[in-house]
Amino acid sequence: MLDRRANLSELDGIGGSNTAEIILEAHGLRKEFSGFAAVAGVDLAVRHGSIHALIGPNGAGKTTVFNLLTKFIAPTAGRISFEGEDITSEPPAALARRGIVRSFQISAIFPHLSVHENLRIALQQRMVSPLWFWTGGQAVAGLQPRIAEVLEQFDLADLADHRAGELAYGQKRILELATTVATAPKLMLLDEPTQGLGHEDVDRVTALIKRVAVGRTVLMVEHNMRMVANVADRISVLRRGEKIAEGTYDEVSRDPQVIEAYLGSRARRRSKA
Amino acid sequence: MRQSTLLLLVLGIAALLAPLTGLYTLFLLKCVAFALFAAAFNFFTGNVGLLSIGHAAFFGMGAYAAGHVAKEWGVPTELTLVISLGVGAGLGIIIGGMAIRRQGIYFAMITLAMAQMIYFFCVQAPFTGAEDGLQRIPRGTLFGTLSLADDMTLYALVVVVALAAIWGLQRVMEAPFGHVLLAIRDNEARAISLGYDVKAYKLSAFVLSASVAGLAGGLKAITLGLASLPDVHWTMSGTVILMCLLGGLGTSLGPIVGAIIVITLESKLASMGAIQIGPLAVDFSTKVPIVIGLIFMSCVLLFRKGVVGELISAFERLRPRGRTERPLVRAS
Ligand SMILES: Nc1ncnc2c1ncn2[C@@H]1O[C@H](COP(=O)(O)OP(=O)(O)OP(=O)(O)O)[C@@H](O)[C@H]1O
Ligand SMILES: [Mg+2]
Repeated sequence: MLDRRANLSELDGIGGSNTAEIILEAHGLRKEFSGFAAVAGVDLAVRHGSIHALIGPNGAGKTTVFNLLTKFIAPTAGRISFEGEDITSEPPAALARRGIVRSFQISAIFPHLSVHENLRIALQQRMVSPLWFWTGGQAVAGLQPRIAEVLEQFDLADLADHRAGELAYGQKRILELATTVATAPKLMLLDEPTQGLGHEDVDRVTALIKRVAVGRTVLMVEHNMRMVANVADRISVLRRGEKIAEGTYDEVSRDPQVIEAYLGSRARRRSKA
Repeated sequence: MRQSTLLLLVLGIAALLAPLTGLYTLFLLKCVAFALFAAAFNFFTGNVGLLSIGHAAFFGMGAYAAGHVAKEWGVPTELTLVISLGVGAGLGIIIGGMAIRRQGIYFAMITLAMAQMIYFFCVQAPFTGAEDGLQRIPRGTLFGTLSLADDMTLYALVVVVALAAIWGLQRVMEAPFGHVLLAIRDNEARAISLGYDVKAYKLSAFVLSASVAGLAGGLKAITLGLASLPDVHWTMSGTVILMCLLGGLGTSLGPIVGAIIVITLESKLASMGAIQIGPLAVDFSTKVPIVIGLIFMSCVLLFRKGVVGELISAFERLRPRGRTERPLVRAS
């Protein structure tokens, strides 16, 4: 963790912004599904250039918070701002243009397109428009070097012509990460990037996230505590829609409420099985 | 070779050879007009994955518009066709604008409801000739000089127009725009999160599809000399869905094959007359809807991908797996 901080202070000079600056902020975020509060008034502040993890037991409301922050669902109450500007009522596609790009817990690939095409779709967004349907492929031919670079960076070059839906599960998750990173977002939101992966793949994805997080901000939902301890600068813990703790891994893991939430839910799960 | 070029070649050769078969030119003309209609429908529903049950509105209004301007105003044929294309586009913007925010069955229902409103408008409106429709629509002249009275001259024009439109739609699918449509169909949420305004893309595709459907209606009116209520009736929307399902929805050649099969069947059945089956005398000319319905059912139950779709999958099974060959989404 220490060397990561060292990295960041180096980057401060480049980015011209300071580490303590808040890039994304949510105030009193609340979402009710027919009376049931899946998210019950959450405050969240993500620092510029940090890796911020959102953890909590199943059903705590993590994905819902993601959906709220990325405008996929409208909040019942609360405000969201990005780089100091209020984005509470912006449509989801507009956020990508601001530099907020998310991945999904289930799947963030285009299964019928090839790996190469998945990347091109991610990259060409600014170059095409719904009205320029006649614009030919040469308009986006300039993306080729960038696509090749990302394929190389993520070890996907050999799979470039394979249909994304036919990749192994771990490769799919890496492709998701690759397409998200390719767009060079300021803020990346990753929903459980290591879910369902074997040990080796977890390590690989962890290393990749660490590498691509340099110079940008990451907010991620993650269940794998080893991974969280390894990469996250700051952690917020959710339980039943409420934030019960926040801080570094060491601070959070000593919090009695967090221990209770985790042991409690684990004990319940065991008794169910 | 690009798929659009290949498609153009295959269809061009077929269109050149067709008159040599001795089939009636009028029958061929009808096939071409409906093939274009099916291709237009397929462009939207086959690629975007939303079912429109309102395409009869574009086709029928395109036909009425062409009939009206050709008959009443004596507009030259090339302009007539441009007008039917424009009518399709205008209606596409209105209907698409209202429906495109909806998903699944709601989208289908709104297109159907809007198309029905247009149907009732056509029943009432003075210029449609009510039950009689617009008859004896003149074929007119091309660029004010070339008369289209000759069947083969008209055939040449219709084939050129239809092929250009079909090629154009295919080319759009091979362009970045088309790739975005495929991506949206594959994973809409992801496309949004990458910054694509998916509703605008869908609407754009819908309007393109509606325009070409209007053009197909115009071609039909000019070639058969008739624009009437069945062209705007919801059963026409059903027919074009059937054509695409039968031939292979989402494939580029399928809708065209499907249209030819359905038109051939309709005309064969209509001329068949009564046939003795055991003690029953069945008059097939009055049973067209039943036969079409049975085909529809067997299509859904037995070969879901349609004729061309099944052929493509059989072909794909024959070659080694792993590498994917999907020329539809490959630009180079
Ligand atoms: N669209 C919805 N309609 C109704 N209830 C919902 C909806 N989405 C989520 N919920 C409920 O809200 C709660 C929080 O769900 P959410 O998916 O945000 O949890 P999570 O923390 O991401 O869980 P997991 O770790 O399993 O991914 C759950 O009880 C869930 O059942
Ligand atoms: Mg979740």
